[in-house]
Amino acid sequence: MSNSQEQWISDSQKYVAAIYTRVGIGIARVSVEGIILQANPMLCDYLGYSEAELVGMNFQNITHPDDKTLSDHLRQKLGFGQLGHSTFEKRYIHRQGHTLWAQITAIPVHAEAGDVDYFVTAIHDITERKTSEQLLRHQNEVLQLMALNRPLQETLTRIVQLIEEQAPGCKSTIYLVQEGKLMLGAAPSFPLSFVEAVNGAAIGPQAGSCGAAAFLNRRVVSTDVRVDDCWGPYREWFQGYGFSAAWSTPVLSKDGKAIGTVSMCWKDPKEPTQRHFELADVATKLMGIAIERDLTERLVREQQAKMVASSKLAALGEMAGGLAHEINNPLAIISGRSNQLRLASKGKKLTESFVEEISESIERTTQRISQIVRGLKAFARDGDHEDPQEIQLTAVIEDTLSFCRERMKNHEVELDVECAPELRCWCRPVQMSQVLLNLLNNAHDAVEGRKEKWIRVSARELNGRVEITVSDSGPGIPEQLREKVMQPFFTTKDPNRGTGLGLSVSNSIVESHGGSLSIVEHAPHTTFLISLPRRGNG
Amino acid sequence: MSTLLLVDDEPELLDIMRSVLEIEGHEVHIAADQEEALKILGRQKVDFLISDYRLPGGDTGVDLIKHARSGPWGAPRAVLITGFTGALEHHGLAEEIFYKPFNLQNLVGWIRQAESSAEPLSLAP
Repeated sequence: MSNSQEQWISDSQKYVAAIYTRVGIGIARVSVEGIILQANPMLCDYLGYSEAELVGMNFQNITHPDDKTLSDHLRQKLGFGQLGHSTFEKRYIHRQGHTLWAQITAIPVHAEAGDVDYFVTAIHDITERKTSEQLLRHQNEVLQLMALNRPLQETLTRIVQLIEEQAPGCKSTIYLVQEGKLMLGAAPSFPLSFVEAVNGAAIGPQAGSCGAAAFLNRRVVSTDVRVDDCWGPYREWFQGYGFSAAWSTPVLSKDGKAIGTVSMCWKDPKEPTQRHFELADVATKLMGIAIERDLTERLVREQQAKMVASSKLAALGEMAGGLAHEINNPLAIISGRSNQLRLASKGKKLTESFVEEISESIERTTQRISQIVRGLKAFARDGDHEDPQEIQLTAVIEDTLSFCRERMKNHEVELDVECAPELRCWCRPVQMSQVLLNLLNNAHDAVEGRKEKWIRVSARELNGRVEITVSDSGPGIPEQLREKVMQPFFTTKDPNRGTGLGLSVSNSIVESHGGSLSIVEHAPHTTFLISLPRRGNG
Repeated sequence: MSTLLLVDDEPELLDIMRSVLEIEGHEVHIAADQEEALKILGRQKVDFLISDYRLPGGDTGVDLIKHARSGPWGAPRAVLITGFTGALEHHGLAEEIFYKPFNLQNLVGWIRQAESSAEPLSLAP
């Protein structure tokens, strides 16, 4: 060997040595079987092992279980010389148990004979990039859950999972702060006894890191549970669950008061890094949005419920008024008959046929009242709490007609019912009766005073649904009012006769059955259509 | 004795009222709705119009009283009867309201009393 050759070799040895020991990339020499033959200091740092521990170890032992197959497959291909080199991403497990992401370039080195002698493997740490990508993806998922109006608990659980995935080794809890108490938001990694003990606990400067963060409206970082101030009486209890550090960040409302907390708890005493704080801030920001949305949603629901309750009350009043009227008329007849009897008796004109006539009238009128009361009995049950059932539709229709048949007869309204006796539908019968009665009453009012007076109720089964139509010979609903008639408090009737709630309440009842109530377009006469599922969902 | 016009869409009640009031000696006419009632009012003088509040065709007894006032014979005195239980808006047009069911003798008595006073009996509107 010439001097210059020796010089070159000595130079390149220094050069390679510098690369091997100083450049920020993990480098290993690996046998074709996957055994580590040599590992540089960067790689040892990265994986958390010494070189002595790594040498002789199969790479598969420190590979993430999900990536073992991929890793094996590539090693074999490279080993058989099928690939010149290969670059791929895979996961390792750090000595302390957390997952590492790596971009790997494996280069086969050939022996004189041409077979692959060993691999040089360069391992580039991409854990941070992967974690950021994952964080973004999870943030998106949380936002999606909110957009889909999923229950708050589900969203909060996802946020906890996000933290635990982002900060390996940490266990996270979320609490809501309500009236000075911590209420469980989500803590999927904690045992029930832990969760139950905290749920409902009062906040305070010594009520644990979460209780203190909620009380002080600022972040509380306890790096060592044994000595930190915030634990007070909870110190031993918390340690009993195997924790030595806990950092809690409050979710603040617009006026700076804590409405929730998010914690990161650790097995060993631990100082947070900037990244941990950033993660907590992402989580609290997401939580803030979720809690606010939930609150708004709940307010809207409460208002809706109040609205429905008050409109039900009004509808009940309306119905009671109508019923009183239906009953008072026949009562007036009975009272009048008794008057006639007394007068005849006083005048000594009480003949057998007269008594017979009066008695027959009283009996008939009593029947009429009793029929209304029978129908009322069905309404007296609370329709809301009634379970939906499969019921013969004609029974529902008959029950309803008992309320208004007499009135129709008196006003010479022709009532025509077309419903096959075998037709059944899935409904709460009392509620459905209310809907039908409302439609029939509206129809009655529409035909009253017209030359042609008829109301037609017909029902049929169509495509797995039951369709009930109520049509009348009335003047029809003007085009511009069609949309309005379903709105609450809209009425065309005399204030003594309508509250404007009938159709809107009917509509919500039908919708609660998974059905719809609509006006049939282009029908020759006013026609309301109730469409109900033939069968319930459960 | 007076001439009465009874208006109600319950035919049986109409019959009963007629028979009782006829025994009392009144001349009684009956009508089932506003149209029939106005025909009678156009034909002859009526002293007392006794009408149901709710009449077929969306009309009310109050509408009928208003129409009756513009009749050729001058305004009859008016009484409303009703199956409703609440207050009725009648703008002071009715001298009395009878809520069904009521004792027909009260109506008979009221007419007797009204006949003896030329002034309308007061009823707060």
